[in-house]
Amino acid sequence: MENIYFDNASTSFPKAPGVGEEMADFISHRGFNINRGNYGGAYDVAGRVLETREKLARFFGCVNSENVIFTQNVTYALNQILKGVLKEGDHVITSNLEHNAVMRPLKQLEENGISHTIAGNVEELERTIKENTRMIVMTHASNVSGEILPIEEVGKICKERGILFTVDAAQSAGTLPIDMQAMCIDYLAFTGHKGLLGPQGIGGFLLSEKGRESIWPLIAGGTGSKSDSYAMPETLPDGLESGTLNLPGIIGLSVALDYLEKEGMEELHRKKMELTKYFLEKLGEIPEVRIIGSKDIKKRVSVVSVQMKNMDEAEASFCLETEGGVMTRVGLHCAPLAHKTLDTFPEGTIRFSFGNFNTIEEINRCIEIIYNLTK
Amino acid sequence: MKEIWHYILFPNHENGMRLYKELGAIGIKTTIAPTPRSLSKCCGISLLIKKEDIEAIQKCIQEHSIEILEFAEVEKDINPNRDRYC
Repeated sequence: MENIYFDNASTSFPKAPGVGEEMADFISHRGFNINRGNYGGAYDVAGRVLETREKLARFFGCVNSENVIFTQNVTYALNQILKGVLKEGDHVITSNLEHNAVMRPLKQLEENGISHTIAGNVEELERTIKENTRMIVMTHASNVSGEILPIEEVGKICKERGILFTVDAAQSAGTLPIDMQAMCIDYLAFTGHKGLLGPQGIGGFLLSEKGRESIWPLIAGGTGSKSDSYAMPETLPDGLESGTLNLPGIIGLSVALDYLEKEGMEELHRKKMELTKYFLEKLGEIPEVRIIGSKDIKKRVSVVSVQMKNMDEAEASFCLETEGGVMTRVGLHCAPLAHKTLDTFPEGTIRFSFGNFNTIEEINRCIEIIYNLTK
Repeated sequence: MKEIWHYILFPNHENGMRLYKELGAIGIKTTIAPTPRSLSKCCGISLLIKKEDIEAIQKCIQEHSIEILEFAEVEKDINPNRDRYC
């Protein structure tokens, strides 16, 4: 029996073709360090890193490649943004579907005199804006229900009101079109290992020119620039990238971005949504299963959470793997706020998340197991 | 007569790599090199360029909004009094 991987919201698998091979080749044959080594091989690697920044800037509609900052993941990026921008007395607004990558830093920041309000919709968000509201931070797509949030609309509000706008694109980068300039996004946090189909351990954020002016580096250290000074350089990306970068990760992400460009992100997304639509239809025929969130395919990404009416979700998840090799994620998905909003707290849900390498046959096998579990 | 080498210095590697790439695209060959210690205490890279290309390079810098520190030149000889420990 072959396993079925339905946990692409945790990390996409398999990765884009060629990612692993290119990373292995880099480590084995040319794993030099950039911004340090003064020789041709290191400059070649620096060129690849620059190309990757340029690809990301184009991909996300960022003003230039200097404003593309690499971190190890989206959580680190969000921490850098929130803790590097917000100051005592600032107020932040967030959505009610946030991941702990946003909620935990905001909770920590309460101790520094930074308050936050949770808004359930755009109207509530507008009503919640105060004189000291400095930032709105929200996810683009929920990692629990898959719901897509109206970032374009919120971006316009932020621009009109002079508020910084941060978007957590963990579940949307490489899946939904994002144009930072058109959507008025000041900080876009992404990870490379989900929809972008790259390796784990590489992510980052992109800044608008306005966002660039407001941020303070959380981590200080060697950058390979202005090394005669103890002060951090103000130039980017080095000013926000102390220490050696995850170069194998960047090289792998670069290959993944090429794949997305070649295959077409929209086409890959269309395929994932076809699978999601089919899965939702089939699940809808099983009365013992409660689908969480909207069934409207246009309002969600390929993440589906369900509860079983007469069965513990963890037990169901265990049976899915032991009986059919179906890999899922069960529980709270590091998003207690989203689960409270969706009325699935504290028991959580079983989450199925599809990638473009999944098939209808795999969905059918999964549905059959779910059906049998309910009998 | 001493040979003069011409360099462009940058605030960081990013700008150096960007200019190297853009100049390559318009057929101007440059060489990435460690920044001479006599020119800057920064341990970054610089571009070794030909004097006759300076005008075209300046145009390219403006067109692509690339940040540089300065154009600089160095006499290629051995100076025993150089600032060797910075």
